[in-house]
Amino acid sequence: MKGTRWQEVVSQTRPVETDRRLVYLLTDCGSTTTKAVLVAPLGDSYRVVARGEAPTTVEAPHADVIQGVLAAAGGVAEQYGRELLAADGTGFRKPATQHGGCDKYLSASSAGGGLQMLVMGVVRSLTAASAERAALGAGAIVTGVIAANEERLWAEQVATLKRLRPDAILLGGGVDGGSTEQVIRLAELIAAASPRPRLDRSGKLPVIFAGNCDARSTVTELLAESTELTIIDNIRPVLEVENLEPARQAIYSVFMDHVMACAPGYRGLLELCDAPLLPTPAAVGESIRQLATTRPGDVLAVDIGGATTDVFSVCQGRFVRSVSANIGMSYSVAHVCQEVGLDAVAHWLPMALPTGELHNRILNKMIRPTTIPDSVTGLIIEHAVAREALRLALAQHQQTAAGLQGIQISRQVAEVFQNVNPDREPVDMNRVERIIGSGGILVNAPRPRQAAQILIDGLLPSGITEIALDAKYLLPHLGVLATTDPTAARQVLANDCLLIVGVCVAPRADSVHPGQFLAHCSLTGACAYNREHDLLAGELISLELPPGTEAILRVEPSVQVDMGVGAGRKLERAVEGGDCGVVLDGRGRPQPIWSGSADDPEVNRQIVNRWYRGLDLYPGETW
Amino acid sequence: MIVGCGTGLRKTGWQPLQRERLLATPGEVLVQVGQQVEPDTIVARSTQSGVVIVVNVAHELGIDPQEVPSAMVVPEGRQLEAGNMLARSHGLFGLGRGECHAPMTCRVVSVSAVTGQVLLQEPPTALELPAFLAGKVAEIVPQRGVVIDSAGSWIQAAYGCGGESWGELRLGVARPAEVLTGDAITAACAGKIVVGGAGVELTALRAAVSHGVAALVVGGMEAQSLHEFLGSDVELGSGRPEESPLPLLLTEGFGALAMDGTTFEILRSRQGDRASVLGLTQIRAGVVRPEIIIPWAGKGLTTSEDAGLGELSPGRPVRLVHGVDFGARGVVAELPSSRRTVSGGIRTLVAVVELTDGRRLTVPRVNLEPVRGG
Repeated sequence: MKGTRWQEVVSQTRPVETDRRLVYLLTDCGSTTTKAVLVAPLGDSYRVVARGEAPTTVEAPHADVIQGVLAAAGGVAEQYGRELLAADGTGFRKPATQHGGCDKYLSASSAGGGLQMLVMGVVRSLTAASAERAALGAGAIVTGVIAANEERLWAEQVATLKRLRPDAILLGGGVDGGSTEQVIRLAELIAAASPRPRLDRSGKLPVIFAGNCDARSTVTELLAESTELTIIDNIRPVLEVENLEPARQAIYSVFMDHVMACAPGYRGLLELCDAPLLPTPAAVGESIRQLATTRPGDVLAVDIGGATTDVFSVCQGRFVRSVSANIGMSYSVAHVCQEVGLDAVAHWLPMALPTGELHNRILNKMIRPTTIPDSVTGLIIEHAVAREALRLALAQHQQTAAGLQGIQISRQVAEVFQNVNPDREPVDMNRVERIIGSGGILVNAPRPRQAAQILIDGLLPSGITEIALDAKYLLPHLGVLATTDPTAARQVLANDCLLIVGVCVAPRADSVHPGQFLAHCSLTGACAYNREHDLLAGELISLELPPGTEAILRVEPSVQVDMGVGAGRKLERAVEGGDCGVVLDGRGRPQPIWSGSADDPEVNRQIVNRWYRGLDLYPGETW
Repeated sequence: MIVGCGTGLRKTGWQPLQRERLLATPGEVLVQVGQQVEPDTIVARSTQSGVVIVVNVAHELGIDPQEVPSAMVVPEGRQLEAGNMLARSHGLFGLGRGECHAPMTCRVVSVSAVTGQVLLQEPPTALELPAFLAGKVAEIVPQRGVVIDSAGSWIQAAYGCGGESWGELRLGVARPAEVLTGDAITAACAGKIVVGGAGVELTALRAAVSHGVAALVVGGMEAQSLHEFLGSDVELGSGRPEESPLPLLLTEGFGALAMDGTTFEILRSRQGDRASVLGLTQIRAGVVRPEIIIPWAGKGLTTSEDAGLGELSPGRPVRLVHGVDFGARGVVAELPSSRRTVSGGIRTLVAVVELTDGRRLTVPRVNLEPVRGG
């Protein structure tokens, strides 16, 4: 599989043989855990039939990723009740028969830190931003961005290049036929720093040049000897066009040839795989793309990890991924608190803590990142941090998802009459109809409604939004499956992957006062759960609608309140129930009307306490 | 079977120890195999490339970039002193002549006819690598450094900052639950590694700096006090070592946490010995924990405790490293194979632990640290 290009991966997206439906063994090798699932035909569609997990064995003393993969597959076999491993224990039994085995083995991986890239461009908001989008879209972690127009001194930029030790550099800059001076200056910067790759320390650093085609010969003169230089089409050939696909393919080749090839045991793993290995974030992205095709409406997905938070969006058909490298729930928890301030975290707590305790707890989580809360107070603190982490990650995603900067936007006549705001945020929460949460803090929440409320408070959806969880952590597996058998992937996504937690109803109302009538909400068609409620400003309650129950939700807002379809316009939608039912959020959008209460911590605690009790988030607790 | 558990910080009363001491860039090794070294013995030396700076000669002389090579009065590779002429423009008919000078002592690295920039590099600086711990040179790594064999007590801490140091061990408190106060830090502490208990006052930290204390080792301290002392937030996620006026190690963590009894006993028993401490915490991309090494010959071994590879089994002594019972010790009574719900509501793999005070707790396995001995 070495050197396989992205295009080849995608080209495998074709129907599989129709004479016999295949059995797939899928793994995701994470930094700490390798998770395996077996996907097989069950009745009319594909289902997950068994799961298993084992510690990832990429570090010493094992230093061979295959050991963890085989151990996880062993767990699958145990649950499946049939053999999966080959007789010699070094691979998998193929093809699948009634006695066991699988037809294809596919995997994603983020072990060893994933693919870490530095991106460069002439102007931060133009070519550097395009390079960043290309790297993120290919599943990389962007550890740094250097632009020729930034204020940092040359020496600082050289020092950054030396310090970061990325796996590769993506160098963009300049439009074709334009000035070459600044992009050559960036190439000189790389030459002066002569940075070494993170893993293959005896090798040369891969540099992908995706800038002004007129600068190619000079860039080659400067970098061909000291780096592993690849020249591809300009990422921004003209200002109005972004051409990310060649960069994405080149990045994928770097991942396979320079990152995976250096990781212990990966050469053997690549031999075992029946399709190219994908970086885990790229696989998750593929799943989100597939999900977005299943029904209309924009989709927003978040994956909060210990160190990083990934945000994926498919808005108006456009897929964007962002990674917030220092926003997470363990390794990066202190960074989140530093960014937002401890007061912002305390804002979500229904109880008072002794002075300094919150700070101590946050730092203890950072230095012992694998510990988990063993008290409700500890749990609520982590949930509070998660809300702020999501808020930060979404803000960063909005920046990444911003359209091409520096170009003139011509507005259609229809847009003018529809009052479409060209400056609207790229992920318009009014248009987002589904939010999908993933990551330990959400998936391991004792009650799914806690995860739903973290997502609602952190992302502030407006209008009517379905909230779901990747409760079994299947998105990476199904993403890699989608590259080989998209039909099977879509069926498992529909059947087994997402846990619907409920629905959020949040009207937009800029200037309302607490207690003011916002909307009349009603549930019909659900027999015992038919209810109606007049939602008031500042209120946060839920209407019960159990998992698996369907109902018609009707929202009739007052004249100045907008449900995302225009002020005062009614909205009706079929909804599915979940643990949190239908959450009616009258706290206001885009800025919640209660945000001023932070001035008085005691008043704020009473408000938060009332919400948490009203939604039965932490039952039995009183503060 | 591997049974996961918590961080697994290690501590031993005595054990053979080996440390690699390697230069960041190739250089010269100054010691030989078998040679006895002390912490301050320089074992290897290298030079670090000077800072590269750029001078936009085209801009300074007001000429086109392609004219810069001919305007240079010194070739690439030439050493210059600060103020030496770098390039000169002749102007039109002698008018508008200009000169450009080296801003510091440097070498001309390259001249670009495309950007009009000239790269200059400051002279290299010498880097000396000390042995860090007393021992014997076991192996030479050509051009990079040495492997040092030693033996003695070894303690890993939960958090540390401030880098490497060494000195004589000195107790600043009588008990592991005692707070290290400013009064305990006197001129007699200069050059010594001072051991505290359940916290350290800000006045003690400041006194330690003013008296030239080599390092401080305490059980825990308030996060806010550390913030005030360092002048910045503690944040390990960036991967950069944190700067501190002196090496500071927390064996347990943040808050008024008493130093673990075993740790305190090891340090108390070696009071007066020379020790080496590493104040560095890295929790991503290769874990590095702060450590205290006290080399000694191995006679009169006091306590031996090793967290091992993080394996749990029934009967294994453990220590809680999270929550209100932080530091409590006990023995694993049961290891249920299925997940259980713990206080707070999370479902996870747990261990049932019988504490030394008789209580029986169900604890997430990841919140336990295996220890040896009771």
